[in-house]
Amino acid sequence: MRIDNIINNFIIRRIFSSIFVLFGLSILIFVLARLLPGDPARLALGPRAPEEVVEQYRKMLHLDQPIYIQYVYWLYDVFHLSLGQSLVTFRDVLVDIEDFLPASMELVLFSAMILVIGALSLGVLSGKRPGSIADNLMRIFSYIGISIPAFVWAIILQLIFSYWLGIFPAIGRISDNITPPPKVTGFIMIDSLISGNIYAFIDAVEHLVLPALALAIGPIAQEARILRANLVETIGKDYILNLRSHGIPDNTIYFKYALKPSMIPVVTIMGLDIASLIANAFLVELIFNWPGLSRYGINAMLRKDLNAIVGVTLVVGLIFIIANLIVDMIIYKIDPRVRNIKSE
Amino acid sequence: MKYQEVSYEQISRKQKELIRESLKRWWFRYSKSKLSILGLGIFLVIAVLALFADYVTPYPSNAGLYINFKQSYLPPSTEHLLGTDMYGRDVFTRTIFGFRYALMMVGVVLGLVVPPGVVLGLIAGYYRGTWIDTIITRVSEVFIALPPLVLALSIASVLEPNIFNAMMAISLMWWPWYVRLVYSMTSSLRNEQYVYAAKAIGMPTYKILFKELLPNMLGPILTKVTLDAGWIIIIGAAISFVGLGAQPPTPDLGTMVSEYSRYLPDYWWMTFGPAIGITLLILSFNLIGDGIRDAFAGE
Amino acid sequence: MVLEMRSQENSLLKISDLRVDYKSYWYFYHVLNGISLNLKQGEKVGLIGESGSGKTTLLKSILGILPPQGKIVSGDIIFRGINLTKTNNNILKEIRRKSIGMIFQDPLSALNPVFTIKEQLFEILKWSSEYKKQLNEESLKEAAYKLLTEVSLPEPDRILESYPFQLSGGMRQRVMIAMALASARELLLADEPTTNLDVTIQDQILKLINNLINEKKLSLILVSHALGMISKMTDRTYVIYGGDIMEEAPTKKLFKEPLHPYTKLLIESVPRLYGKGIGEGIKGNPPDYRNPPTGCRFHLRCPFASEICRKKKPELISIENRKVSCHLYTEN
Repeated sequence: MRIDNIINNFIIRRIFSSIFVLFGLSILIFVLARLLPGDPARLALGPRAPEEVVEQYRKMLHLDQPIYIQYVYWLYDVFHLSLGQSLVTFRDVLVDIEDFLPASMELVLFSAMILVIGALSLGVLSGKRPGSIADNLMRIFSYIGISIPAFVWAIILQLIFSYWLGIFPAIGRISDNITPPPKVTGFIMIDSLISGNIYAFIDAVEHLVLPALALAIGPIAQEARILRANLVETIGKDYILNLRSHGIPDNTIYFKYALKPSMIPVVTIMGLDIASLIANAFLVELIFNWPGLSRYGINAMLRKDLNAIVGVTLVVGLIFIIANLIVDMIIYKIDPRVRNIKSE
Repeated sequence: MKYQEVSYEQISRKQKELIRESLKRWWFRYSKSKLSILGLGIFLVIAVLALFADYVTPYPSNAGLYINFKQSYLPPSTEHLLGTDMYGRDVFTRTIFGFRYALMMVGVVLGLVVPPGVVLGLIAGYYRGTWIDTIITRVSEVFIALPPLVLALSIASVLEPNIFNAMMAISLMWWPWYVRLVYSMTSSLRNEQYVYAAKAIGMPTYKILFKELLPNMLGPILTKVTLDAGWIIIIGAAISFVGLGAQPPTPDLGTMVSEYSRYLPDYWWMTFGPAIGITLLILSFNLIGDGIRDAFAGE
Repeated sequence: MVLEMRSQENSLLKISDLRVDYKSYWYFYHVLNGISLNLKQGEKVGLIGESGSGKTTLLKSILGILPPQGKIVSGDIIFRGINLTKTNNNILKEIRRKSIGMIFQDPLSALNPVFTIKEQLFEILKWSSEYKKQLNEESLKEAAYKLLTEVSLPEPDRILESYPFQLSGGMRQRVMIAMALASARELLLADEPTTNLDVTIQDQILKLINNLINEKKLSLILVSHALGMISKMTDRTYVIYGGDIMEEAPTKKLFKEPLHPYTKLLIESVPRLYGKGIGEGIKGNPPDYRNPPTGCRFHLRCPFASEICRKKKPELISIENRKVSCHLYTEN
C-alpha cells in the first residue's frame, strides 16, 4: 500500500515536472521562431502577392499582434489540436507531422532495437575477459564508433553496402516495384505483416538496416564501453567477492549479480541515447532519402516555415521527454535504491 | 606537533611546490597511457597544420572560391593526396583549412559556454533549495529537454545561415550541461568540512566558490570540456551539412561532406577527405578526454 | 621429527611464504611479502596490525577471492592437505561452499545493493547445501529461517524481503554472519566484524560470533585492530605489519610481554582507562607498497632501527613457544 503511494508520487512528480519543461520549451521555441528576420507572411505568399492579401494573411496568423498575444493564440490552437498552418504545404502542421512521423518512428525504434542488443552483447563480451582479443577489438571499435558522426556512418555504410557491394538498397523505405501495404499503423514492417505481404516485409527490413545501423553504431560503441568499464569495476567489489567466497559459479555471478548493478547506470545513458536517435535521424534521413519527420523538419528550417519549425521541434521535444520518462520508470523498476528515496 | 609561526611567503612557496608536484604526478599518470599520448599527438599535429595552413598546404589558394575545371575530379595521387573536387580544388588543402574552422568553432563555443555554465552551476549548487537554485535549474532543464542537435538546428534555422551564427546556436544550447555538472558536484561538496571551516572563518562566498570548491571540480570539468569538443564538432558539422551553417565555398568540414556526398559513389575521395578529418579530430578529443579522466581518477 | 609430524596432522590451514601483488593501472603494489601462518583444528587465531597492513588481503587470498587487480605471486595455502593455490577450480569451489566462510569488514558494501537478502542468501544456501538436488523454495526458506534465528534476527520474513540498505548496520552484520555460517563448517574468517557498528552493538555481535564458534566447533581467524576483542576471543595472535609477520605468540603472552618494537608500540597506543592516559600512537605511515622499504619493512618507523634493519629482512625466529622477526633478537 505504502509502496504504491510512493510509486505514484514519484511518477506523478516526474510527469508534472515534464509538463512544466514542455511548457517552458514551447515558450522558448515560440520566441525563437518569432525572432526570425523578415515577414513570414510575405515569405509564404511570395514576392508577387498583392499587399492586401499579405495583410489579410498576416491578420489570419495574428502576426499583427504583440508576441505574447500571438503565443496565447498559438497555445489555444495547440489545445485544440492544431499547430497552425504550414507556410509551405498549406496544411495544418499537425496533419503533416502525422503523415511523416510514423516513418521516423519506425526507423528510430528499429535502430533502438539494434542499439540495445548490440551494446549489451558487446559490453558483456568484452567485460568478461578484460585484456582478451575480443576486448581489445571492442576497444578499437568503440573509439572508431564514437569518433565517426552518425551522418558520416550513413555515408560510409551507403557507399560500402549499397553502392559497392549492392547488398542493401541505398535510399527510400520500400522499392518502387513493390506495392506498399495499406496504411494501418504507418509502420511498413507491421502493416505488411498485417496484410500478409511477406515480400513487402522483407523489402522494408532491407531498407531499414543501413539507416538504423548508421544511427546505432555511435551509441553502441559508447554504451558497450561504459558497460564494460562498470562490469570490470563491479567484479572487484566486495559484494561480488562475497558471493565468490561462497563458491557460486562464475557465470551466475557475472551474468546475474555483476551485470545488474553494472547495467543500471547504462540504462540511463541508453535511454538518453535512444531518445536522441530522433534527433540524429535528422541527417541520416536526409542521406537515405527517408520520407520521415526529419526531412520535413529540415525542409521547414531551410524555407523558414515558422509553424512547421515550432511544430517539429515541439514534437521532437515531446518524444524526448516521454522517452526520458519511460527510462525513469524502468530505472525505478530495476533499481531498488531509487525506489527508497523519500520525496523531499 | 607544535604550532609554528609561518610567513605568507613560506605558505605560498609550499603551495607552488605542491602544485608543481601534483602536476608532475598528473602528467606521469596521463603519459602512462599510449592512447592518451596518441590523442595528444594527433591533436597537436592537426592544430599546427591548421595554424600554418597557408604555408603547409600545397595549394592554399584552393581553400575558398577557386575554379579550375581542367583539374577537376582527379583521384588521389602524389600531387593531390586526397584528390580534387568538382571545381578542381585540392581536397587535402581544403581539409586542412577545414580544421581551422573546426578548431575555431570549438574554441569560441567553449569560451562562451563554460564560464557562465560553471558560475551558474556553482551558485545554484551552493544556494541549493533557495529560489536562486529553482530559477537556474528550471531554466536549464528546459534547454536540456531537447536533444542538442535539434535545438541547435532550430536555433540556427531562425538565424542567417553562416558559421558565426552556427556557433551562437550551439553556444545558446550548450551552457545548461555545465550548469548541471557543476551543480551536482557543488551540492555534494558544499557539505564538506573544509567548506564549513571556510565559512566559519568568514571567508567571502565568492572565494569559497572559486578557491575552495572550483579547484576540486577541475577533473570532471576538464574531462567534459575535452569530450564536448568532439560533440561540438559533430553538431557544427551537422548544422553545416544540413545547410544552416557555413555556406560554400567556405572550407568547413561539414559543408564539404555535404557538398561532396552528392558525388558519391563515383568520386568517393572527395567525401573521404573531410570525413576522415572530422573523425581524426573527434578521435583525438576522445582519447585526450579519456586520458584526463583517468589521470584525475587518482592512484 | 615426530612432534612436527603430529602438529602437521592436525593442522587445518598452513600458509607458507605467501606473496601477493596488486596491480593498478599505473603501479605495482607488493602487498604481502612472504607471510606464513599456521592454524590447528579448533584453534582461534588473531591477526592484528594497523589498517593497510595486508590483513584483509591475506583473508581474501585464503579463499582465492582477490579482486582482479590482485594476484598471488608465490607461496602455498594448504587447507586439509589441499594446496588451494594450485588445486583445480571445482575443489576450490567445494571448499568455498562447504568448509570456509568469511565475514566481510563492511556488510553494506559486501551485500549486493540491487538484490534482496532473500535472493542472495538463497543463492548461497543453494550451493552450500549438502543435498543440492532436493532443494526447493520450501527447504531453502527453512534453511534461511534457521540461519537467521541462529544469528538472532527477528522477523525473518521482513529481513528476507529487504534490500541491504533498508536494514540497520547491526542487522546487516547479522545477515553477513548468517551468510558466512552457511559455508563455514570448519573455518570462519572474520574481517573486523565490528568496526562499522555502534559500541553497544559491537559487544552483541562479538558474543554472537563467540557463541556460534563454540557451538559449531569452528576454527577462527579474526582480523582486527581492536586489541581488546583479539585478547578476548583468540588463543594465539599474529602481528602483521606492511605485509610481513612481525611476531607470533599465544595471545595472553603477547599482550603481557610483547617482544617486537612494533607490537609494543601498537599495544601502548591503545587508550586505557587507567594509567598514563592516551598513548602516543606510532609515528609515520604504513609503508609505500609500490616501493617498500628494504630489509625490515618497519625500520623507517622503528625507534630501535639500526644499520642491519635497513639491509636485511630479519628471519622469523622461535623463542620458547613464540616467534618474532626482529634483528634485536637475532644479533646475539
